[in-house]
Amino acid sequence: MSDRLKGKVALVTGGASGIGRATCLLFAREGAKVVVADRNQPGGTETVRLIHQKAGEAHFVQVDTSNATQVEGMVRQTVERFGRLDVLLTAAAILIITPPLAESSERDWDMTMDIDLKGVFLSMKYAIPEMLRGGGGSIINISSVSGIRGNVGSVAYGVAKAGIIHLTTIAAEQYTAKGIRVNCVAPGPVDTPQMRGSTGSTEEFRRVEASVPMKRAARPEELANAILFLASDESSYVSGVTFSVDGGQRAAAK
Amino acid sequence: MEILDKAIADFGFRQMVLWSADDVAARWGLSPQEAAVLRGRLRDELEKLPVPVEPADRQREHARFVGLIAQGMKK
Repeated sequence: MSDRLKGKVALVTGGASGIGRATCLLFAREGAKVVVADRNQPGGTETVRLIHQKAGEAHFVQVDTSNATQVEGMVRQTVERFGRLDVLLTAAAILIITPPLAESSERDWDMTMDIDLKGVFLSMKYAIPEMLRGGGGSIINISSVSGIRGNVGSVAYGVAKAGIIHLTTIAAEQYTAKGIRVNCVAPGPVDTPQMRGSTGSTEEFRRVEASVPMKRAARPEELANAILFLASDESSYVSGVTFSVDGGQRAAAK
Repeated sequence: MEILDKAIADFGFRQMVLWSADDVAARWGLSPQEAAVLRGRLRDELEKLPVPVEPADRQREHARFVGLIAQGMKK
């Protein structure tokens, strides 16, 4: 299948690696013009290079998604470059490992909330007016299984990811009738540098994989496939959902 | 040292140091000299670390980075 996003313009935060990069590449392959946004300039420009290599259209914007001015500029550059905005994927996130709550620092809490939750709020805040001007759009936010059941290894991360689910629901209530579908994907373990790094050791990463009913972490491309469905018109009657892509992890939770 | 320990052991925090060093320096109240070391040599070396740094290797990496910091602060 191809051209599922033909004529559409997609903005992807966190496009320098992992789920964000895999989705940028898939979106471009399906005909979208892609703006790759990230703090990580080498990673972001590499994503753009990979898209250009396959004759796709892409542009990199360096952005700290917790900074309103920069996020506003990211959306403005998208429209200046490609003329419109149809799809927003908010994949930018950090997972900082923290000690138990009482020993956890305010700094770790603030950094996580700024990037993982405020960044999603700001990205939607500035993208929605452009989507409305273009007659509608699709927003896909990346939450996590941790947003559904918590994450004992990081106090703020699970809370931020739960907040994303609620932001998604609220935005869907407010904008679905105006032509913008807003959905959320909740991945389980995904084989990304972030996931391997946050488990702290190869042994622990293997243990996490073994805890999933499918006995492995997802490939980023498997998340990208689910995101593509929500971005494309194939999901034209879907808004306000949290789509778990977790190898059966949630179903198996006690 | 807290920044160093976290950046070696925790890839998520390392990402903050690599791509938002100014933000980290501000949140930790680093001096201009400390912030310069963080943005310079320390950052370059953190980028080369494996993902993850296995627990058995952390002490050795910590000692190496302490040496780099000491060199950077002398300049």
